[in-house]
Amino acid sequence: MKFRASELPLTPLSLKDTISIRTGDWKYVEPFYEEKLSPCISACPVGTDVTSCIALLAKEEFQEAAKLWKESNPFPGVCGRVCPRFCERECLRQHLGGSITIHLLERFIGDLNVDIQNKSQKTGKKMAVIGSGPAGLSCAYHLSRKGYKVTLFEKEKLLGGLLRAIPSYRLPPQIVDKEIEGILKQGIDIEINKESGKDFSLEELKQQFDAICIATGLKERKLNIRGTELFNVWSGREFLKLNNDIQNKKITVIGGGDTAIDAARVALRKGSEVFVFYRRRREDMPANPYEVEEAIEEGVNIKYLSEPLRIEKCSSFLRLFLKKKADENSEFFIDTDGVVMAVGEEREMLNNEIKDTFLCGDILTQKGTVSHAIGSGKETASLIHKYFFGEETSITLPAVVESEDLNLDYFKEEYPPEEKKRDMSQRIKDFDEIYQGLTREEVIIKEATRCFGCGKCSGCDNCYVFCPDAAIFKQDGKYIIDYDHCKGCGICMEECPRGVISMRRTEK
Amino acid sequence: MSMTEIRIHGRGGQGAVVASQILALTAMKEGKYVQSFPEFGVERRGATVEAFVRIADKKINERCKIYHPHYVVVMDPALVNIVDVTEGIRENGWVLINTSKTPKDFSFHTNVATIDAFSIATEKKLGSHGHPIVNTTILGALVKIAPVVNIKTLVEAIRESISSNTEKNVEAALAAYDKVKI
Amino acid sequence: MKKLLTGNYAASYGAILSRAEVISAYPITPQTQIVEKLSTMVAEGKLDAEFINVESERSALAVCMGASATGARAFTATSAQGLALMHELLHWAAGARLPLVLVNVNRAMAPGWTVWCDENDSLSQRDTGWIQLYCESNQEVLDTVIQAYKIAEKTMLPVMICMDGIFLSHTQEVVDLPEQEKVDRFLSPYKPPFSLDTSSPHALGSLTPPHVYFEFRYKLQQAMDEAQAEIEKTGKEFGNTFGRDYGLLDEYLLNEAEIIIVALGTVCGTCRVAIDRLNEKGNKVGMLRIRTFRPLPKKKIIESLKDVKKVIIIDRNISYGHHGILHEEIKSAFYRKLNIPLFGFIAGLGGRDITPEDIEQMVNYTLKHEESDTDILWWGVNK
Repeated sequence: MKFRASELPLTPLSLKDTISIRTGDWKYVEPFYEEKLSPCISACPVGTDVTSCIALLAKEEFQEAAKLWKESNPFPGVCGRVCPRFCERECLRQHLGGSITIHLLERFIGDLNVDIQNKSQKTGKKMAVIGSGPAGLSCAYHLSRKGYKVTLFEKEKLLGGLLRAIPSYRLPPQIVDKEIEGILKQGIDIEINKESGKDFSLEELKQQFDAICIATGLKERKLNIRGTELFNVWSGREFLKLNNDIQNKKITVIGGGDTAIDAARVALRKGSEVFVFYRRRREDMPANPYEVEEAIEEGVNIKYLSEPLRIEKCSSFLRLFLKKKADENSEFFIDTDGVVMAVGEEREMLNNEIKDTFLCGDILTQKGTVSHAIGSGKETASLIHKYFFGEETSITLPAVVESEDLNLDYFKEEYPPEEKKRDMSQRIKDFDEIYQGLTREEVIIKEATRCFGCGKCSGCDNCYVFCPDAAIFKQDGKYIIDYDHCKGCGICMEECPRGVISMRRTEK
Repeated sequence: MSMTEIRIHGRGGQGAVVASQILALTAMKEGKYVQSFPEFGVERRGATVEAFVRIADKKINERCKIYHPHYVVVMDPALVNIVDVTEGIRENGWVLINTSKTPKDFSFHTNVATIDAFSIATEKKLGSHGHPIVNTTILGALVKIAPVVNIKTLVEAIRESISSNTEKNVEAALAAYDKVKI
Repeated sequence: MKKLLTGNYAASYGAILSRAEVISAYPITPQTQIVEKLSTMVAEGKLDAEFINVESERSALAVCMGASATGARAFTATSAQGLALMHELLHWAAGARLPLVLVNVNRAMAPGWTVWCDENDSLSQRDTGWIQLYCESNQEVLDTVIQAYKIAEKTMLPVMICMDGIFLSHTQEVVDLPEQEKVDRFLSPYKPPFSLDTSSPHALGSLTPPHVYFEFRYKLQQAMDEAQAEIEKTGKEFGNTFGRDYGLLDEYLLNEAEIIIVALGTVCGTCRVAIDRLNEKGNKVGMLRIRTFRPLPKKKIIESLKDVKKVIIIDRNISYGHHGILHEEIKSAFYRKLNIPLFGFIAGLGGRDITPEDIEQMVNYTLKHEESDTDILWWGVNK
C-alpha cells in the first residue's frame, strides 16, 4: 500500500475511530463473568452462602447477614458451636494467615437472635415430620417456608433430639431453645410425647397428611459382649441424659466418637476419674480433634488400640476386660465404677415402602453430624416440594473456586483474632460454655474483612481498570464486556482477585 | 550620563537583592530603563553577596556583570576588610558605607559617604531585634549622593515593595537621606 | 502596563496571558520561579488552569502531551538536566504534532555541578523536531510565549523558548505587560485538528510501518519549512497589535557592515554595546541574532551575510569533537553559496561573563586575521 504524504494525517492517527475497529475478531478465547462457588460453600453440608453473609458482616449489615444465613440454616448458633467446620478446612485463606474462622462468624450471627419472617404462599399441603432432631426441625422449617402446613411429632417432652445430648459446655441449652423457637415461629404445629409405632402408626398419619417425613435418626449400636446389661453400664446417650452423682468415681468410656468424648468430659466435670478405650489410633478417632485435645488437657486418660472383651461384676465395682488390638494374648482388665459404651450408631430396620413417605437426616445419610442432618432436612424438603409440584429445585452448581483462580497479590497475610477460651482449671469445675466467641469489633474489623470472597464479585474495578482495550464498562453496578473490542488477552481474568472471570473458547 | 551602574555589597539576609530591586523600581517609576540582578551563587545567610543595578535613559543591552560601577554600596562595614569594595570603580565614583564612622576614617582613592543605617534601622525597629534590616535606610542615603532618582520616587517604590512596617521603612530612608555624611 | 519583571516571571506572565490550561513542571534552578509563580496563581484562583504536580521533568512533559492531545493549551518549563530528561518525549511530542510551549532556561550541563548559563542544553535537542526560539530580553520572553502558541497551533509543532539562565531568568527589567483583552484578540482559543476524545476514540501514535513512517517524517520537515513563514508572519502581526516587531532573525547595523557577528541569546545584547563602541571608532561591524534556530532560516541568513567580508560566530556552547554548534550551522548554510571566512569563537561556557570588551577584542582579532586557522577560537579559557 502506498500513501502520499498529503493524504496522511499530521501524525499517526487512526482515520477511523477505534470503536469501528472490531479488535474482538482477534480472539480465540474470551472472558466471561461467572460467579463461582467458594470452597467453603461447596464444603458446607447445608450449602449456606457463607461468602455473601461474611461480606454483609464486613459491611456491618448484621441483620441482613443473619437473615441470609437463616434462609438456608436456622441453626447458626448451634452449628457455630458444634459443626466440625468442613468449610474452614477448605478455606483458601489458610495459607495466607489461616482459614477464616467461619464458625465464629456463624456463632456471632446466631447469637444476634434475628428472626426471619415466613412470607411463603400456602400450598395447601399438610406434612407430618417425625422426629425433632436437627434433621426433622430443618425439614419442617424449610417445608414451612415453602408453604406447607407442618406438624412435628416428637417422642420426648423436649424438642431437639440429639441436640439435647450435647453437653452444655459445648452447646448451652438456651441456644438450642432460642433457635427452635425461631423455627416454630415459621408456623409449625408440634405433638410432643408422641412416639411412632406406639402413640400412632404411619398408616394413621397417612390418613391425615399428604406426606410424611421420617427423621428419627439412628439408634445406638450395642456391643456384642458379655456384661452390657449390668447395672452402671450405660450407652453413651443414656449416660449423657443421666443426672447421677458420680463424684470421686472411676468411669470408663468405650469409643472414640463425639459421644464418647462428650461422655468422658461430662464424667470428668462430675468429679470422676475417666478412662477412654478406643480400638484404633488417635488419628482414626471420629471425634473432633480439638475436642480430643481438650479432653486430654482436662485429664481424660485415653488408651488406643484397645478392644473390650467383657464386663464382669465384682463386689462393689465392675471389671472391664480388654485386649490389645490384633493380639489375642494380651488380655488385661480395669476396675471401674461404671462403663459407658459409646460405640456409634446404626440404622433401625424400617418399613419405608409406604407411599408419600420420605426420609431425612441420619436415618438416610448416616453422616452423624448436626450440619449434615440440617442439610439433609433442607434437601428432603426440596425433594418433597419437587415431588408435589415438580418445581426445579436443583440447578447445575457452578464451578468451585480453586486456589489458582485467585490473584493473591491483592491480599495481605492476615491472621484471625484469637477467640477467648475459659481457663482449664476453671472450666472443668462446671458445665458453662468453654468458648466465648468474638466481639463485634473482632468480627467486623478483623475476621469478616479477611475473607477473600472467593468466586464473588466485590466490584473492585480491577477488570475495568486493567482492560488494555477499555472493553469493559460498567452499567447499573455491573461489568459488561464489549466483545466487539475484547481481544481475549485474559488480563481481566488474571487481575480478578476472586476468580470471578473465566475464559471460554470463542465460537465463531 | 547615559547609564549609571551601581554595585551593592552585603551579606546574605541583609536585603541587598531587595535593595537593588527597590532601586530599580524607583528608576522605572521615573520612566528610566533599568536592570537589576544578583550575583547568583550560594545563597546562604551571612555569605557575602553582590547585587547590581543599571539605570539608563535608553534601552540597556549589556548582559554581563557590572565591572565599573559609578556607585558602590557597602551594607556591612566589615566587608570593607574582606572584599575589595572599590574594585573597578569609576573616576569620581562613590562608595557609600553603612557605618558609624565618618568618610574621613576611610582612605579610599575615591569619594566616600557614610551613613549609620544600623542605628536608624534599629531606632525604626526594622528587622528583628539585634538584626536590623538596613536596605531601605541605606537607599535613602544612596539617593542623596546619587541623584539619578528622586527621593520622593524612592518613597513610592518603598511603599509599593515593602508590605510590613512600610512607614517605618519610609521614615528610615528619609532620615538617612538627611543624615548621610559626605 | 509596565512592570519590573525577571525573565522567569516574564515567562510566567506569557503563559498566563496565553491562557494556558494545563501546566505541569518539575522545579529546577534557574527555572523554578516560572512554575512557582504559575502554581501560586492557580492556587489563588487567579489562573483558570490545571496545575499538575509530577515527580520528574519527563512526567511533566508527558502530562502536557496528554493534555495537549485532548485539545488543551499546555505549558511547561525546565532547564539543563531537566530538558535532557525529557529528551525521549521531546521526539514524541514533535512526532505527535502537539502544539506545546516549553520555556527552557538555558543552563550548562553538569558535571561539574552548575546553575549558570550556557546553551548546550537546548542546542543538544535541535534534532527533536521542536521549533527553537532564543530570546535576548525579558520583554522578548513574554512576547515570544504568546507568539509561540500561535505559531505552534498553526504549524502543529511544539515550540521551545530559550532564555539564558541568570542573565534573563534572574534579572529584573522593565517589561510591558500586554492587556489580556489584546492578547485574546491576537491569540484565539486552541481548536485542535484532532484530539483524544473518549466519545470518538482514535488511536494516536500507533504502529507506523515503513510504508508510511517515512511520509510522516517528510511532513514534519515540511511543517518545519513552512514554520519559517509562520514565525515571521506571527512576529509581524504581534508588532501590529503590540508595537513590538519580531522576525526570524534580528539584524543590527547590517548595512555596510564588513564584519558581522552571528550569535544567539543574551550575548547579542552585549554585542550591541561593543558594536556601537567599535563603529564609533570607525569600524564597520554589525550583528545577526539568530532568534529562530529551528527551523534554521538558511536563505535569510545567506541573504543577510552575502556582502560581508568576515563573519564572527560566538558560540556559548560546543559540540564536543567538532566545534561550536552555531558555527557548524552557519557553515552548513554557507555550503556552495557563500565563501566568507568564519571566525568561530567559543566563549562564556558555564556562565563565564562575556563583556563588551571581550567582544571588541574578538572583532579586533578578526580584523587582524585574513581567516581563522582553527575551527575553535577559545575565548577567555585559561589553557
